Amino acid sequence: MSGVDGVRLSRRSFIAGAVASGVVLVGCASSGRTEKVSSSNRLRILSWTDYIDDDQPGSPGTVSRFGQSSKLDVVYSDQYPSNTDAYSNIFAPNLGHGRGVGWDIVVPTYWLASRLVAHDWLEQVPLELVPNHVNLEPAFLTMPWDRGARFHMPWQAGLTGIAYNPALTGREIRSLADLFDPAFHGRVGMVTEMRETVALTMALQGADPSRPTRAAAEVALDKLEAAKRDGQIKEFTGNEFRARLSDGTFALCLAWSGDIVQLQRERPDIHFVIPDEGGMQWFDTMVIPRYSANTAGAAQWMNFVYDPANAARITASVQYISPVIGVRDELRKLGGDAAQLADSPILFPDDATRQRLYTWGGLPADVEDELDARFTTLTTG
Amino acid sequence: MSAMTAVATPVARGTRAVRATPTRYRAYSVGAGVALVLVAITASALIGSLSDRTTRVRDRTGPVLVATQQLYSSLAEADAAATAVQLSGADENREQRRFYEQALERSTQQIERVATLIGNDPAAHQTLQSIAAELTRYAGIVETARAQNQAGSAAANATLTSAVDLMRTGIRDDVAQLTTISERHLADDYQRPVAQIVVAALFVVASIVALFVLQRFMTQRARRLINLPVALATLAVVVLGVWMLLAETGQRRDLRSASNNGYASISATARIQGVAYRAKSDESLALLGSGAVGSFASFEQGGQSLAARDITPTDAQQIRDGGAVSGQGLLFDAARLADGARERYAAAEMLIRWQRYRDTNRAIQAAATSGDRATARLTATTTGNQAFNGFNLAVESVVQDNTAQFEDSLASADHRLRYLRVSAPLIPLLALLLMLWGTQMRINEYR
Repeated sequence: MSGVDGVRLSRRSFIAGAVASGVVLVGCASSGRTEKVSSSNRLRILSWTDYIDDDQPGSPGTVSRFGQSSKLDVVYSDQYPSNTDAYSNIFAPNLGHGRGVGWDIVVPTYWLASRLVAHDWLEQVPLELVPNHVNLEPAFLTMPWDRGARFHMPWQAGLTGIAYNPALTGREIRSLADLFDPAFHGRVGMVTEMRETVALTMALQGADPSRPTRAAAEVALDKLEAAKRDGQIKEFTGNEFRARLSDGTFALCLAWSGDIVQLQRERPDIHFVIPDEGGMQWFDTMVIPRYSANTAGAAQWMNFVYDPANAARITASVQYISPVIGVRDELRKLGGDAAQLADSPILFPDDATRQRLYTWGGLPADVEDELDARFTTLTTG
Repeated sequence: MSAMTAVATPVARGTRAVRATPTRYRAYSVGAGVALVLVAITASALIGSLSDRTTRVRDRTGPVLVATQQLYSSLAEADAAATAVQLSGADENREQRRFYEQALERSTQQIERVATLIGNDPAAHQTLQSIAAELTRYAGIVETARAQNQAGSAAANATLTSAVDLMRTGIRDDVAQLTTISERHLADDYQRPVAQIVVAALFVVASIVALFVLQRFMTQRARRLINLPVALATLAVVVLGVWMLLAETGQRRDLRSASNNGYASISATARIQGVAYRAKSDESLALLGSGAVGSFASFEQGGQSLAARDITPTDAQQIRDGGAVSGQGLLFDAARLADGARERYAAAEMLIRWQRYRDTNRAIQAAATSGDRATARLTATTTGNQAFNGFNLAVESVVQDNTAQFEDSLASADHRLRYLRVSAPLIPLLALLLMLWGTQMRINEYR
């Protein structure tokens, strides 16, 4: 799907967007009790746009290959809307009233997954059907909201840092403070994700985004509002920052790692850095909504994409950080452009960089809703 | 003679009246009725007592035990994370610091939970107060060590060592004592003698006998095969008796299952976590060179008690397939105890991830032994931490499953009494009405 400025919209493009299937319940001994594992011949997946490798001539994509090997009829939609829309229009109206959402796997961002877990709206992943679970990086599985990681399985991860055009900045950018430097007045962009833009502003102000407080978030919002009012911030965007960087509208901006890796193919002069104060790490994660008709098929899919060889093909296409151990070696085996990705510091950040990454720690849902509302007013005003 | 006859006549009339069939029907029915009323009363008391037993286990003693085991794990995790943070130096590892803070926060919540639920037990409350006070002291020492570490003070490691020492002796001993108290409470609830069972059973039998005698008397006098209402009344009491028996034995079985499959597993995994966290802490302390507490030798000791030999991919596959796997250590024991597909896969993952951590630790030890302590520390604070986190999440997954299983078994035990709470008094009363109706039908035949 093409988006604004001719740029292909990716996982972060927020495009607003059920297939019924029979249900067979099969008993499966689990920890001495009976877990209900539903099964059908159809698997329905809802994910973000451009978040998987497509079929290419002579090279079927992951969905096709999985369909062939599992004999399942896979319905894959890339019409996942924004997390907020998904919560309001997909999850809450259905799961909140005891109805299924019509999908066996949905791929929300981690913070929304945490809310779904809190609401008890997710099926437990039948881990006995996902032996490749052992290939997962533990960093994505140690979330306090799902201890033991029984309800979510990470899909792809990314970093939010600063992208800049050295020709326009005239110097190396290393600090979040540069985003507020009057020298770049009117040529700064921020992203439309509250949990990244506000979080990084908090980090600049000395607060820890992995253990946020309402007060710290409010102070960060004050600073952002002032910067927007003063014209320091040109615009809050989704991945349209790629176009703004390309045409010189932005000299520097907050940006998502995967988009910059893609942009660097055409514009190798665009730089991406994790600021000294730290960057944000986020991930989207697969969940099985309650009343799924095919939890067994969902588990099969997870197992398939956690095979490092299959995971590497996805990484080669989407260019985000894979949660699967062994992808780097598999990329090298693929050769060509894929092999070059194996050396990308954005896809495989080193230990020192990892030490400087934050993951949004979360606040009570009602507080986050209020912060979201204030942030939305700021970004759309 | 006539005078005697005149005197005897009212007595004889009375004797005849007593011996008259309707009167004897009434006498028998009163006896059976009294027995049925007593069945209603004792059955209600019995169900109340059984319900009270499950409620106590489900809402108090069970959660207390789970929280105590979780407290044990959380404290061990806090300790391991605190030492890992110290090892990462002045630019501390944020993830480990987060783990430390979260573990400490969970510990406090678990202490509060236990204090709320454990009831009026002075020994338990005294132990809890001691744990809370020591934990506050421990956190204070860790913060001092952290500040010293960030300031580059040479005293930092010695300060941290004193915190570790406090955790490993004072706090852990108190938690062990608390566990003993909680286990005793649970055992008391499991084995609480239910005197009402005997009393209720006696009255059920008595009422069945009374109804049977009434039925027999009616059959003889009325020369009919059966009095249907009285037969139905008898059947209702028999059904109630069997139902109560099944509920009691089923409930006992559920509680035993909760204990054997749920709590025992929670306890075993908590022990695995405790040993593993201690080993991780030993690794950090060995690299910090604190001397007094923690060394690679004590790491090895912990490692051996978890898995006495290396784990191969073949072992993991055998475990998944349900085959026999040889090997000494808590992890192998857990694998052998796994009785479902989910448990077997989880056990296999625990072993694989432990081996990954073990391999990383060997690299750390090799670097440290060769004098390259910088590499050893870097590996420990990066890939070492990640590998250990992977192992820990696999164990945590099992803990969560076991906790859910424990709670399910307790809920199932309670569920068995759901309809009996209403039926226990109603069925005897229904039987009473049927019996009175059946008796009245016969009496009416004499009018």
